Amino acid sequence: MWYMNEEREMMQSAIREFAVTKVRPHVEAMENEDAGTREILKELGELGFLQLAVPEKYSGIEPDWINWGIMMEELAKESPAVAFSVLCANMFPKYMSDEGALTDEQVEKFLMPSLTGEKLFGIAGCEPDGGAFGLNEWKATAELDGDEWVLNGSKIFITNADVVDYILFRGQMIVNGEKKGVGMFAVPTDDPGYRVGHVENKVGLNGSRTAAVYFENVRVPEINHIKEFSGPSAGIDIGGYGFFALGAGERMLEMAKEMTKNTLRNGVSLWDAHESIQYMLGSIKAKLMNLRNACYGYCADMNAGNPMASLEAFALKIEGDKLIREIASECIGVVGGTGVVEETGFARYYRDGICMLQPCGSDKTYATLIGQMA
Amino acid sequence: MNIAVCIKSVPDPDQYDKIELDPVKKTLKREGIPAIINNGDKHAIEEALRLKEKFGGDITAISMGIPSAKHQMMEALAMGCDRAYLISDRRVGGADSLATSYTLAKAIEKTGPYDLILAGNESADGATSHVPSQLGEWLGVGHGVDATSLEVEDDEHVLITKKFENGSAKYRLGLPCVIGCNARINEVRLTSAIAILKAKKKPFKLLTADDLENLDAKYIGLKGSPSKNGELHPVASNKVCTMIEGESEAEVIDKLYAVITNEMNA
Repeated sequence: MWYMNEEREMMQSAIREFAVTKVRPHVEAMENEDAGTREILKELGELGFLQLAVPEKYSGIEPDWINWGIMMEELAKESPAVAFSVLCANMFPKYMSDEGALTDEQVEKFLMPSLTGEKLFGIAGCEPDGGAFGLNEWKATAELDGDEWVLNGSKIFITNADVVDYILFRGQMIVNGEKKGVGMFAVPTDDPGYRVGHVENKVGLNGSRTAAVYFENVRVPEINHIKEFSGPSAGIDIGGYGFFALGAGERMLEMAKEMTKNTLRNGVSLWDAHESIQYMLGSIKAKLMNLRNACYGYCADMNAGNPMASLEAFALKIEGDKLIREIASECIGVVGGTGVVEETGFARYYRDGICMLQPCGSDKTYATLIGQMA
Repeated sequence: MNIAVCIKSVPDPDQYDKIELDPVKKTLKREGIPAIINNGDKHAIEEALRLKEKFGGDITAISMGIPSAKHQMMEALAMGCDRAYLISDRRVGGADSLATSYTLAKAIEKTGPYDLILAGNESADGATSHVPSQLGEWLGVGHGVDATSLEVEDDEHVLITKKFENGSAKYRLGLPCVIGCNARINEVRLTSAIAILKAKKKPFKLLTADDLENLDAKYIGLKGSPSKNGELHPVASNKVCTMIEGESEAEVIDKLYAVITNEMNA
């Protein structure tokens, strides 16, 4: 492919090996017990995979969004839920490595440990009123008391809530009774005032645990007060949704092709007997080819600092959501009855796809943004 | 502890079903089959990494192959080797295990000295298990093969364990020596992203026959290869199912035993 070179091929082999040896065996526990991804995130961090798109001055390596894309694609082949969990855990190191995002002390205390997986970070923003983006409607507050901030509030649909070491609380700052806008604060999850509530029983993305969280008089020092996401990297990794669809789609296509070539009717494979099957799987391949170019084109634009990359990211969010469900549906239709049997595997991808409509903002939100910005 | 690890670029065994036989030359057509580091050699690299972590020193990967084997050398660097040498020259090509081990020995002499030389016990494609022992002989040092464990006893000796069907044996070898590593010697660690991205900055050198001192032409390449490949032919596979029946379990077992021994002797 146009974006591959020797180094990226090695990266692909390495992450593929990780996905097969570490993610694949964990999928059953994720599906049946909603087992979390903490160990996977930690190991990925230790191996340096959380640093792929972070500036060299922090990581010691040249950032490359294409390597990041390769990682997302290979993880999604085994589990879109794991890929999604990684996307969320990787947000803090990526967003907070922008110039001026953190003080030197905060880099030392928070950013550097996040790069290696020594400390994992989650983000708590969404509330029943306001959703993920309605900052002015959020009820959570951070009140300055002496030299500490006192955090109170509750959040919903927080990914990795009970697997991370720090949760980034986002709430309305209050100083001497006056509102000062939304601020962000790093809360250690072993703080007695932080509590993980109900873990949602979602229809998909099992193992990427989603929970309500509560902050009750949590006190943090000023060093834990982190500037709100506003740098060029904030939100731009939404393009990861395109890679979820790409990885999952390639895997489903591979499965469907194998099944139709190995299923015989009167001594002839379904693949050979029905041109319609060749047509349907060929159409899926065509969609994936276009998606591949869009995904890695977005990564190439990220590497080049092309401002179009943010619109491309939004477009991948919209298309990625749709395609993963479309491909799952078509593959199930092609392979017949076994397609709806859980153990065959297509159903998991379908359910994961449904769950990708809403996180990080809905398709309609991004389509509106594209309409306004393009 | 300075360690040399001999590695080989081999066709990916997972793609063996795509390898075809050239009906005229009676050799394997390997074009289009991706190459990987021989699995046994990866275990040798892992063993070297563990020794380096314990005792310090550095690790040099050495291989003989076509120019595209450079990719496997970069992988070896990404796995943790400190430098890599690839001997690539038509004059050493077409070599059997004896000529290969001779050329590798010359490269080891050129780039050393080393305290220890490791290699996978056998390659996935040739699978002769000759090279580690032959290397030891060419270098005039002790050699042990099929090691399932390796420990450094002191500054001058290592101990290896070799497993047999009905037990195991421990051998003491003086350093320097050559050890062929069995895949059971360790579990190869996952490659880190950071190491991959730093690999290109590590020293890599392509060596030709001219770079190797005192290379005797009668021991290299085809000329230096006393082994000649016999004729290759594909094995026909017929899916035939024969039901073995009998009055008792013992009778069925006896009949099955007879079938197996007849097939083996055929």
